[in-house]
Amino acid sequence: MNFSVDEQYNAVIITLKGNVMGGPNAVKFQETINSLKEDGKLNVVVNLARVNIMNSSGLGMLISAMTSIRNAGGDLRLSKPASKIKSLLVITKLITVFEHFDSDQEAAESFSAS
Amino acid sequence: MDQKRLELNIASTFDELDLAVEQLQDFIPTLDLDDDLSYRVILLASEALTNAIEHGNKWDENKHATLRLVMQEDRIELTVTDQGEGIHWTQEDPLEEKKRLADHGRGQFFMRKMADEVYIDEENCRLDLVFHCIPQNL
Repeated sequence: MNFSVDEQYNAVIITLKGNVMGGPNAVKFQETINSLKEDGKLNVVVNLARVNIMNSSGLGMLISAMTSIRNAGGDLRLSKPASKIKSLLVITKLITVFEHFDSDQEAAESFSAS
Repeated sequence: MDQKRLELNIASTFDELDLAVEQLQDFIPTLDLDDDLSYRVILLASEALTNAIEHGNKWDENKHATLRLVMQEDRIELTVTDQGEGIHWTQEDPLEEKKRLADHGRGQFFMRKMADEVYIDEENCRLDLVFHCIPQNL
């Protein structure tokens, strides 16, 4: 897995790529989340369009990040989850926990609506 | 039909786990499976290998995990072994309200949900997953 960080639509967009299975880059991902919290950037969108496989370790990474951001008063929302990733969210009932959208823009704009 | 198979033997490091999953992602398309089955096999192989390396071998680089995938006429058999002290197969339910936001504990749940058959040989650190598929000669 690797990821890029961008700021658009008044939110931070983190785009994940490849196989999301934990490991060293999951640690870097959490460090990025910690930096965003320190900078007060609490509207975070994670784009999943380029994810191939996300296993339970990858899901755990996202849950940790979301919990961390929510505890700081913000939220982490998902954009463009592929149908197979959405089905993982459904069977784990996390679909009711993560807000998810069809585009980065929709996800980012949802922060101003909430 | 001829059996198609893949055998891997990896050290207990994340890099080797990552590489093993990439090798599976190259191999699975050669089996001509539908998308759903392909995805389930790769995902559960990653879960089984992760469990073997993390909970079995406890990330000891001197210990290895093996994966054997064999495609039979109407089934795919996936076997993962490790060199730990025995598989501890839990019946934890990650859907419980208090566990819903846990950052771990879903690997075995996925295997129970997405494989057609699951066999655990706790003493010999061996996990077998079976996936049913439509016979290719029909």
